[in-house]
Amino acid sequence: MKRVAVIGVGCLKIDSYAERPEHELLTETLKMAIDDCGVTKKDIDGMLIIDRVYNEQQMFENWYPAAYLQMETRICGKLLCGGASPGFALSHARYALACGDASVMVVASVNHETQVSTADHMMFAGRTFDRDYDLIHGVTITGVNGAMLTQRYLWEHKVPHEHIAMVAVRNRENASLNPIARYRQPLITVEEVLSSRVIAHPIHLLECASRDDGAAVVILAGEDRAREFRKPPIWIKGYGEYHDAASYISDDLTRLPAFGRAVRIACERGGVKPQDVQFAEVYAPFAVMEVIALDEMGFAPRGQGARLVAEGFTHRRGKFPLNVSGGLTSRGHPTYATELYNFIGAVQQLRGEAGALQLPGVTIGMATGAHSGANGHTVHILEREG
Amino acid sequence: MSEEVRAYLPRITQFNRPFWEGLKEKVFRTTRCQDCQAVSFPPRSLCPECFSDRYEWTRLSGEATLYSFTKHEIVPRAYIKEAPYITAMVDLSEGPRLLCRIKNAAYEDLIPGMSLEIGFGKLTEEIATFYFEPTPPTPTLPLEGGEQGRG
Repeated sequence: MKRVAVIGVGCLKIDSYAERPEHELLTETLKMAIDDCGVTKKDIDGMLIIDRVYNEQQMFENWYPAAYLQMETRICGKLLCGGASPGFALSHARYALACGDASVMVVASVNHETQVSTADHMMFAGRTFDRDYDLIHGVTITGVNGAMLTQRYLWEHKVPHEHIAMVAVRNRENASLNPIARYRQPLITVEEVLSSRVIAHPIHLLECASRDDGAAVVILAGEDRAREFRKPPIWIKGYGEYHDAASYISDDLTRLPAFGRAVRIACERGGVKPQDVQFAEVYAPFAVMEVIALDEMGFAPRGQGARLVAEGFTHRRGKFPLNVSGGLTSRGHPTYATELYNFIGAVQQLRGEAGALQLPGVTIGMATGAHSGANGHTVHILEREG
Repeated sequence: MSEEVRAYLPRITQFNRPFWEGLKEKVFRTTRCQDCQAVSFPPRSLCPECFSDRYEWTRLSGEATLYSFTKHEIVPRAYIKEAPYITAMVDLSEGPRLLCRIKNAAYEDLIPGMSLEIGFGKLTEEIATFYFEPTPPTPTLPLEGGEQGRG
């Protein structure tokens, strides 16, 4: 099996692109990734596009770009695994490259949802719950995955809400230095987070990821070709994926067990320990999930993740810089592209291209995605060649 | 302007009809595996513990404990008229953990671990639903005659 590397990346500033059709966004982003690495049209022999499950105007969004750009491919399809779709697609591209079914593959996602109001979007998104037995009660993703989870975590671990609010404060501070982030200003304080509008008690607007549009493209190549292009390859060192036996959340609201499992699998496959990972871009649509991610990575006994955040452990100059690109709460959350943004954020750090947010001397990083926000996770360990 | 957006209604089938018919009669029931005795919710035709398809319907006590909860301020279009409202994750005394609405309680009075009991209402004229509410305080002295049965 061949090793597989990231050779090119491209992404649009996260924003609202309600007026622009998906294929225009995809084309513009693909061109950015092609220019990043210098691949030619004839180099690309595979393309996986993330299936957008809502507001799809143009059907067959995988073959449509192939037709629009006149690309013949050995592998071309749409994949869906919720918010973990990009990780799932990157993984399948890696399988194809590792076994030689393709040599250079494009993974692309366009998230296009801001043309729909939040109240209408919630009607659609609620159907990720049990359609017959849960949805009838009026439950929502923010209500369960954000609010009920925070409520239980605060109660069970006797954590001050201020420590969880620190996640949002730090994300905004990082996003203020990231040119592709949607929410860069104003900087916010813990008091402002906890006095922002309540979405679902006890959580506030600034503890939640927003609804955004975005487009991101990653180009991968097998090791036989990975060094032919413009930038030094960033290797996929390990990959882990784990899914709880839950359609939405795990039974224990204070944990993300599948995240812990996926991290351990990715580290085992990559031959590293979780402590060897120098920074991470984690899929956490609610502030509390960044805290639980720290618990699950084993940095502290369960319930201590919030204290770590308050102490600066996850600050970009701390021991474990977390979501340095601004996180989902401030960089923005184009759901079906978010994991690609996490992945690209990690690649840029490892290449030394992260500008004002650059972490000094990093060689091993992690990027994750999650479906339904909590019950299944995809984890990539990336490495710059030493 | 736009037509009214309606809440999703459950899809009642030959398999799950005993559950939805039960609610109309204020009976809360689910399926139990005849091989391993596991009680599951929602009702299932295949036991999630042992994959046996030998199931039977069993009546639940309607008693539960509050696990976590929220009061929704921002809600899906179909629920705007009802907001704010409280939903919760509760543990049935028989084991399963489920999502539900909480009624007849103020958000400020709720605390994880408190006792709840089931109540019944309507989604439409034809379809009944259930919710949970705080269990009334137990009288300190036993009542004469001992008829304290709840639903």
